[in-house]
Amino acid sequence: MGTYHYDLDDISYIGSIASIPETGWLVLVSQTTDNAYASIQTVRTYFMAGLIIAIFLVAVLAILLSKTLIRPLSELRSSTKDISGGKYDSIVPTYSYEEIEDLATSFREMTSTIQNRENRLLISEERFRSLVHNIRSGIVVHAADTSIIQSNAMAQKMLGLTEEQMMGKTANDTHWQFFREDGSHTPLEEYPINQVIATRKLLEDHVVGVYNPESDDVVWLLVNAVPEFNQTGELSQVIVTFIDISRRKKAEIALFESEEKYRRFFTTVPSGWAYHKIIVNENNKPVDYIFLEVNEAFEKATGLNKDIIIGKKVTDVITEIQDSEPDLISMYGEVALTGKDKLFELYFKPFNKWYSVNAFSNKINYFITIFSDITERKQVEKELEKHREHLEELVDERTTKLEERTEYLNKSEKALRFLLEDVNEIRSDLAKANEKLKELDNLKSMFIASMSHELRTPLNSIIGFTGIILQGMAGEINDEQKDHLERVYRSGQHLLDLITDIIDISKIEAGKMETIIEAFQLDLLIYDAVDSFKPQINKKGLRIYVTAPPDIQINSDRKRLLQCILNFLSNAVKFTEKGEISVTVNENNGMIIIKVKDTGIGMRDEDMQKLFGSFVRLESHLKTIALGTGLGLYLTKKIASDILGGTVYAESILGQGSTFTIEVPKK
Amino acid sequence: MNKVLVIEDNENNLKLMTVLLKNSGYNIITAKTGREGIDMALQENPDFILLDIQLPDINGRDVIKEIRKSGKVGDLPVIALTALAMSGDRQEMLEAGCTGYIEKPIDTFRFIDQMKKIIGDADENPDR
Repeated sequence: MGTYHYDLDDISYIGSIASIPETGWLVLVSQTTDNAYASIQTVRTYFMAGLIIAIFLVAVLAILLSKTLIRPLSELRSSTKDISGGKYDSIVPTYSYEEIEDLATSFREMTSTIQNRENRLLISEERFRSLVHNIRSGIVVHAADTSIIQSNAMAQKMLGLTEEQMMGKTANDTHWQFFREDGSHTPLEEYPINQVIATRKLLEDHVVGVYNPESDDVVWLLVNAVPEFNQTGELSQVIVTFIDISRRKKAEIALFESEEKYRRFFTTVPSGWAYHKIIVNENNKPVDYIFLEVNEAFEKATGLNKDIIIGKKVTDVITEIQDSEPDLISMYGEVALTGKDKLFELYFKPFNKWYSVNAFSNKINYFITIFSDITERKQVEKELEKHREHLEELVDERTTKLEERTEYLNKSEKALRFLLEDVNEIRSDLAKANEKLKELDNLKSMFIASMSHELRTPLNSIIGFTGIILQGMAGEINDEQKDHLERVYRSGQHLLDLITDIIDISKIEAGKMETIIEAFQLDLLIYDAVDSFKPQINKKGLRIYVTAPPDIQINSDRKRLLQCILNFLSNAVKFTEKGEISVTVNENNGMIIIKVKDTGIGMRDEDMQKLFGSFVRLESHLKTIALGTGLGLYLTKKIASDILGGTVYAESILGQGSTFTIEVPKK
Repeated sequence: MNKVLVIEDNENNLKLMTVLLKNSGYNIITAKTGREGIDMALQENPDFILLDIQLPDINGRDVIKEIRKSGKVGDLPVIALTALAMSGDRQEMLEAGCTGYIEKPIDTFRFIDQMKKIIGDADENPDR
């Protein structure tokens, strides 16, 4: 029941125990170990010797083998390495051993086969690469995570990106700007790659606009995208191909816009526009036509509804057209069949309207009408025609009158020309006369100047010597002689006054009157003046009153103011036979107002107006006794206005008396 | 004080004044030119002079100046006879040194009174 070792008395034993069935007996067999293993030791010794001999023999064999077998194998291995490294021209040497040579031969054949296959593969790959590179479609290969793993030159060109920029770019890259056909931005989920990933299906003929940064423009692409799956059914990549349809797209847009434009033009053009097809009978005679298309203006001008008439025959729409004059169907038929266009104006009875119509044909059996409602214009024309007729009559009438007038004017012009010549002559005469007058005026001044001396000198002698005789210095004279001499004396004095007045006036008129402005007491001047008339006043039995505020100082030409007052007093005394004369002085607003009032004969209103003129002698019953120069008031007025800077005026009631007033500035 | 020199070129005026002056008791000497008048004024010792300012040779202003220059008769009253309208002349004469003036034409009824009034300022009234 087992083997066991035991030592007894330093001798090692090996034993084995076994039970004998159904007896209860155990059998022990043992012997010393040395005894037991002695035969085994012998076998081991023999075996070791044999091993050594075998090793030696193997070594010898190995050396032999290495020469004949291992080296060619090693050379083949190195060639294999070369071939796997692509060195297909690695030489496999020939061998003398048949088996090895067979091996080498098949090896060589294999290498050549591999080399051929490899070459074909290279060529194929090159062709493929060239195809991908040169194909006129963009190709972009996306990995499953949408990142770009490959792109071709066309794709790069179309998208305006370099290969480096494309590589690794994902659909999420904000760089992309995709557009829908309507111009709006394409949302991310609509990107072709995202659609394919989402649907796992082929995307066909999808149009997308992509912003090309190179050209700074949107390029329109027609995109196809193909998903590819691996063995496990997972999406491995998506191949996206696309072509540039920008040009087509633009043409499409242009076409659309153009179509739209013309459509809009035809619908909105203010002229009525309609497209028809003519209907002919078996004799090719036009009998009807169908409305194919009309615009808004047509509806407005005709009152027909587009939706109702399209596709209908005109005879159904406007039954009266068959009786219309002119025969419209025949006219339009001629246009549609011959292609000759017509332009005419038409009164269309069914609508009671005037139209201007242009009918033409674009292809046989079809015709287009373009027309406008000219009813209003026609009415205006009719009105105008009426007016024109009336106007013509008027013009005729006027023309006749005008011709008459022209003739008259021509005559008048001739007369005027003569008159003008006369006037020019007269003007020239006048100029000469004016010259002469100036000469005469100078002469007058010279005459007056010399008169002042030459006339007065002898007159002074006459007056002087008459005075001496009157005073009795040349001896006694009788009363009659005295009366005569007094008349001589007075006449001389009068003549002297006249001459003096004339000299004064001419001096004032020539602006040569000297002015001496001095301060003096006005009331004294008044009394002086009144005093010098005292003898005459007393003689006539008149009363005189002076009302003047005392001590009025004024600045004026004393002598000339005195002359004015003396003239007033002289008149008052002269024309007053009874009653009184009053002199009043007032001051108002810097002006001195001196009034000389009498109760004399007075004046008529019409005489008042010429009162201050020169050489005025009013008609009166006192004429004979009223001596005067006729220059007194004229001179007074001249002095007052030109010398003293004041005014004179008179008030009077015929038969009741007059008031003469002079106003002069106080300073 | 009754010797009067009348310088006047106009015969009629001279005669008129001579009659008036003689009638009033004056002694009269006469000259008809300015030169003659100056000479007589210096030689004849008149009491006063009546001088017409419009003379044929020397004008009245120069005559007065000449007379005033001579020390002998420098303060002699001189009455200028001026035209009525010529107020400028009067001003000129007064400036030249005349004692007073009488306007021409002379008023025969007032002449002597006017004259006396002027020389009375310079001297006592002479007897009539």
